[in-house]
Amino acid sequence: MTNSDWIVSKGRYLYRKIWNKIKEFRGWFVAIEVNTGDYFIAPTIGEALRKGKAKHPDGKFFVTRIGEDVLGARKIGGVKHAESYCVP
Amino acid sequence: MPKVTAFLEDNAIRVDVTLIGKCDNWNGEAIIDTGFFGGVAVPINIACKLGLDHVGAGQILVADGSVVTVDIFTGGIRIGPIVMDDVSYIVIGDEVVLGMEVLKNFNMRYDATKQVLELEYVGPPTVKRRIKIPIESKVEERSGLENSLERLVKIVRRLR
Repeated sequence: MTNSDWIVSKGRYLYRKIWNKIKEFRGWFVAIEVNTGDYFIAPTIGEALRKGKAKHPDGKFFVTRIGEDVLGARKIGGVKHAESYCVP
Repeated sequence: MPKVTAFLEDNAIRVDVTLIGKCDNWNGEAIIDTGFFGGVAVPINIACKLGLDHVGAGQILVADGSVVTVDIFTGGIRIGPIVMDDVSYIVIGDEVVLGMEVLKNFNMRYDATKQVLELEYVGPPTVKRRIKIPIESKVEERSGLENSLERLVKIVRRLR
């Protein structure tokens, strides 16, 4: 398991634990610090990470879009919305 | 407000950018993609050259339907005279792509006759979010207030 895979699996576990607290912000992004469990919500990935780095400068964050299993979808020439990947 | 012009080329709108990393900078063209949710998507060779800050990971749904884990970095970007710090970078694909995290800071106007896109820097948008108050808490608040008002009214009536 690579470092990124570990961040994702730990982050996903923490994400499910905090789901009830953050589900109001569906569509925004959450950055979860995987060692402490602290989480930061913002409309963009950059903002969520900025908030997180202010508190945990060396932290590692799992980032996802609230209400979806993935950050988003990426394909050549555009992005497909990942509606079918709703959680939980 | 500073303006930058982007051009239509190979069926994509491209703008000159400088990606700013810890070790090096990269000058070149980036595709403007209003459907991309992130800040900047970069190919692995450019990400290695820049020396970006690794901050975490996430997952992306790719065109074939599979979910892949991607590393997330932060770095700076310069578009014309505008410099932005702490923009999120996702290492994916083989071209540099600018997403909505960066483009949200610009007013965009496309001139179809000249086939150019004018980007006017306006700064980060002010986000107004509607927060839904759960019905239960509304009832609790209302009932508490109503109860005390009712008691007050009853006391006043009795006194009269």
